[in-house]
Amino acid sequence: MSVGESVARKDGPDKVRGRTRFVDDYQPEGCWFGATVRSAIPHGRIRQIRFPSEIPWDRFVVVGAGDIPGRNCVPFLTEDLVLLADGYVRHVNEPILLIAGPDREAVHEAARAVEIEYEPLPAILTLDEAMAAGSTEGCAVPRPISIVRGDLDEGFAQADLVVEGTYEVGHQEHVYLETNGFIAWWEPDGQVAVRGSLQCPYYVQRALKMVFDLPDDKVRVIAAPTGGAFGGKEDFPSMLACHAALLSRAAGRPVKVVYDRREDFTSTTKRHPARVHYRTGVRKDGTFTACSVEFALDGGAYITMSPVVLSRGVIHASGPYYYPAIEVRGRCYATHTPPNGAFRGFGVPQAFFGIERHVDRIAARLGLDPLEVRRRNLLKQGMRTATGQLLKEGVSAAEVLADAVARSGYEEARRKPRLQDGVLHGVGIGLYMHGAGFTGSGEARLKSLVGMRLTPDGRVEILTASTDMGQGTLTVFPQIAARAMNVDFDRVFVAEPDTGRVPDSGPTVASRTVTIVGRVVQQLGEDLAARIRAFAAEQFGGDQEDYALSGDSVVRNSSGEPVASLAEVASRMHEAWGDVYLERGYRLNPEIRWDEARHEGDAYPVFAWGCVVVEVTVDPDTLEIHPVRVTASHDIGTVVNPTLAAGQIEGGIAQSIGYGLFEEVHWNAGEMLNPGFTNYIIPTTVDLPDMDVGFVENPFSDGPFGAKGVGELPMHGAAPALANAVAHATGIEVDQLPVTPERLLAARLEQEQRDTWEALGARGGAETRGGTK
Amino acid sequence: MKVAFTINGRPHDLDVPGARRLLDVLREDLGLTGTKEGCGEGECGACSVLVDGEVVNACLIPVAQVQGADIVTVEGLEAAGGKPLQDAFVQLGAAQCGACTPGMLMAAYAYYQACARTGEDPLDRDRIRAALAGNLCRCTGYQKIIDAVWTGCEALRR
Amino acid sequence: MNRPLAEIEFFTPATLNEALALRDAERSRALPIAGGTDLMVLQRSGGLGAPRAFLSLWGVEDLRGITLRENRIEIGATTTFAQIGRSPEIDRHVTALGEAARRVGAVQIQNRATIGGNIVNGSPAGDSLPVLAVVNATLVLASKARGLRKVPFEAFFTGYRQTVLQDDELLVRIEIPLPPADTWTGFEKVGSRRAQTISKVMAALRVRLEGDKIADVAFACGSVAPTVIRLPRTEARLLGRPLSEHLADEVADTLNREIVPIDDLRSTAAYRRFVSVGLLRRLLRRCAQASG
Repeated sequence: MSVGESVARKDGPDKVRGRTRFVDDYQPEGCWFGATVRSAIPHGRIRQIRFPSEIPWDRFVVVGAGDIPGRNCVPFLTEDLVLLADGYVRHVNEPILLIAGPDREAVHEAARAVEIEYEPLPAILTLDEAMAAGSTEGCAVPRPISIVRGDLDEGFAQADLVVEGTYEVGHQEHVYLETNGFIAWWEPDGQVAVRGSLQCPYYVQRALKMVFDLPDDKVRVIAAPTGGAFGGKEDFPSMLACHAALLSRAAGRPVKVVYDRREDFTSTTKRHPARVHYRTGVRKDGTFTACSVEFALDGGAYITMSPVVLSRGVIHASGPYYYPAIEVRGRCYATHTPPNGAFRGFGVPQAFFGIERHVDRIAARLGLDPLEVRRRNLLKQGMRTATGQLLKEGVSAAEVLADAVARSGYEEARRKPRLQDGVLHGVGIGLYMHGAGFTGSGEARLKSLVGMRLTPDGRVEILTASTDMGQGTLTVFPQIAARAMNVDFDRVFVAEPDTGRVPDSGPTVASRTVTIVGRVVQQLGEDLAARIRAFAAEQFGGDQEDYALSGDSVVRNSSGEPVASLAEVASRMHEAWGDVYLERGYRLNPEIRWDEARHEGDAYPVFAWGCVVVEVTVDPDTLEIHPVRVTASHDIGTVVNPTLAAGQIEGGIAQSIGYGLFEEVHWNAGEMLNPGFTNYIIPTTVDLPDMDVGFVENPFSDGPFGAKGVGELPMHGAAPALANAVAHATGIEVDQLPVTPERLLAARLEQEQRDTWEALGARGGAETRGGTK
Repeated sequence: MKVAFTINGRPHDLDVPGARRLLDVLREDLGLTGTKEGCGEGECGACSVLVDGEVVNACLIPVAQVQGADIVTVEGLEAAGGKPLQDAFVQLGAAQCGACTPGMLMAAYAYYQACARTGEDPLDRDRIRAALAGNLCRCTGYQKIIDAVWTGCEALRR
Repeated sequence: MNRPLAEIEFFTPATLNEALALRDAERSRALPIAGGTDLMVLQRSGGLGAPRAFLSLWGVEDLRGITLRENRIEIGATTTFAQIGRSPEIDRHVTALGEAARRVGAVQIQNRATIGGNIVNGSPAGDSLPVLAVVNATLVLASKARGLRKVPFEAFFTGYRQTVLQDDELLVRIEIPLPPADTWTGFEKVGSRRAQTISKVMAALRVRLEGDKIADVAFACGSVAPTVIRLPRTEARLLGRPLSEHLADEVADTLNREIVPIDDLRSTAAYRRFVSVGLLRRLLRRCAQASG
């Protein structure tokens, strides 16, 4: 079965029978449960810790910073993140102590009972406060990032109008249905092993090595089937794995730490809140002459992924549009809140809420249709992006826009009266792109290694560190390999991501799994097929070119006549060589040039493009907003598996609709007030319409069979499209997410007040000025 | 406390605290880990099981209250006749990460049974959506789940 | 401090008399529990104050069922919202209650949540409460010592989650008089999303018309005060007027003086005020459409 076919996912049958075992489905013999004692204040020193006598402490083990054999650090881009607070806390719910015991309810009871006395220090709790303070307090804030291109003064001078807007987005929680969890145990030879819900086995290995001061071969990380992640299991698992391992070491037995929903909400990473300010010079015909962007992120209390989130946000801040002159300045601030981390899109959804709302604002000021303003400014092949990257590969901005608009009935919806059947109607567009893979030379630095093994019975095993969190790695990699080798899909399978067996193909992030790692899978498949053909030549005579693989056999190339089964040939190869295992690394296109310091050059190997059109109704009695029609068009290059790809698009759009309409984290003194599904709202089945999802295929020359990345792309457009549709329906512009009925009402009252004052001012002004201008 | 009930056709006789959650009895005492805990508050539906033919959240049920009841979990769905639904989920891409899948299937099967009882036609996308509104999914956007329930119900009817 | 579920004793009476005897013996030591959709959540969050025992009413079949009498309809306290939502008698005689039942949570919750639990739990966001407030419901309480005691619905709540239920009493059934002909009832709810949501505002309306004039009216709101409330001054202004959705705007100022909404996690006072008027408008419009 080939690339381009909607093969049913390999792990589907187990999933629909409840046979798939997630972390909490394992209960090893004698395994204890772990719980975490966390900070109650956002910033301060720990004065005293008391263990009340009602708890039988001799039945538990308790672990603190002093029990860490290596470094008290969870390494990412920097080494500022502390594994366990050591006398000093930087955010509410920062881990301080760990407790393990035989009964799950009892160990959480014990954790709640611990009494901690603090000496509070002043805390910075919001982006506003941080920007006002220029917050560099405590952890050093990553340096600002700037992109400059063209002559801004000249650009603004040519503008007929300058349009400004400020757009704000808050935290977003991933809400994977399976919470974070790990099981840790120690082998007799001193090796620590963990099994967890995670995206990046080798990130976790790196952390364990540092915390326990162990070499590679003494640290084993196994990725369990992961029940959703969306970036929320990119960085956080490194901390949780080390916690579980510390407890296991102290208890002398396996320990399982699984967060309940409340703890997962309050204590793990979220999307960075952002404030984005656009200042755009435009001509009367809607074309852009210049743009200046200020991009501010709230990183929380530790740096974690912030420098890269900032970088990606800044690079994408210009959107799918061409500007003769553009400047983007980005800065990440620190606050005394739980550190924010990776979340699908990674700075880009924040930027696109700004960009796409701003385009509609520009259109409104000019009296043009927002579709028209987009059309007149699109990036095209041969143009350069804000970082100066020459767009050599197909640029599909115009195509996806046209396709989505055509299928959505947009133009008809724009022309119809706003009020129909007692309900207000509106339609809005989101147009976007996403650069797949690590930024710049990141993929060259990663040197992703993939392994491929021919088993003695002639099946093909793919060994990578890429995990399957629902997106279909276990299915798509075999499709690619099967096509590359021309063997049956059913003969190809993916090894469990276990650092004891698989090489480091890099993290399962950045929309890189298919387009980067999958590329190596394709190349390795071709290599392995060549080896098999060469061996066949040795065994059966002739040259390598005389043979081919087909289905489950080796055949004569000229006639297609089978020579031997793959199983037979594999068995002979194993006899001759002992094992048949190949490895290959990803080779980044050497033409890619990136200057990290100036953020200039080729940011990504290729961009994927998308457009979503959302139609909403707004109920005049309640201002309830409901998406009634969603139409999307995406260019992700060659679509390896249409059903799985459409599933990614539909899921990403749904997550963006949640971001746009419902999802909001409420805070009080640095603590999350709504850590549950009752008050952190994600869409249910009845909150979403059917979605019409289509693809425009513009193959990527360096992707496996032309595939680009898809994971994050669909996150970017629906939220701004919703806000734009609401503005169309009601005439009210809301520049903050989520666009709730409450915000809509408040914005309308504000607008009415402004109009009233303007009207009064105009009358009064004429009187006092006595008619002069 | 002695509690006796049937799970997936098999009788069970347990001695457990009466207030213990049915979800914990299933997962921890009986090793039936197919039913998942997504929130512990009855908000996400990942723990949905059938009790006497009705779909309920196992995280909210004290086990003493299922005395004498007939319980079906995802492990018993095939034997109970739900295979066409499961097959549709696999074929149409309705399962991505799989964490919501057992609960979704139980709610879908309960929907089909309810329609069979009342004579209502199950092949209605809006009614399917309403029947699954207590099951949260974060991966799929629900699109292919609705498709699969529709297709599964159609197959069940034949 | 939380008492772990394993340490909570669990009583499972089979009949009402057994239940009343246990209630009399245990009093506040044993918390009555029906479907558990509220209490099991509260127990987990530590909001129950460590009860020593649960007194389960779920298995008491005497307490379940809907019975149509000559001049009233009786609903057993442990009747589930699923049963209420499916009931042809409810649909015919107390339509708004069926509407409310079908808006509770989602299917899984409706199959377990009981009307009795909804009432005794006393949340101002209880979905059935605005409807019960407008249909002159009577609550029938029972104790071993004193037998049956009937309390009009409007006298049951004394404050935020405070009721007149004594610690030896159980709620056994709800009695709703069959309304006169030409009576229309309706229920509306606005939450954060379309399903599985706690209300930001709810409203129930009962109207009897004579010609096109409102001859009899009751209007109640939930989630805009510490308890569910009737709005008598608003009702007075609607009485005698020709039925029209525009009445909502006319009486909006009076309506807004009768409710005391707050800002909270879910919504704002300003929005709740706006929507309260909006829901009255919707209900009046639906009533007008129903009367043709």
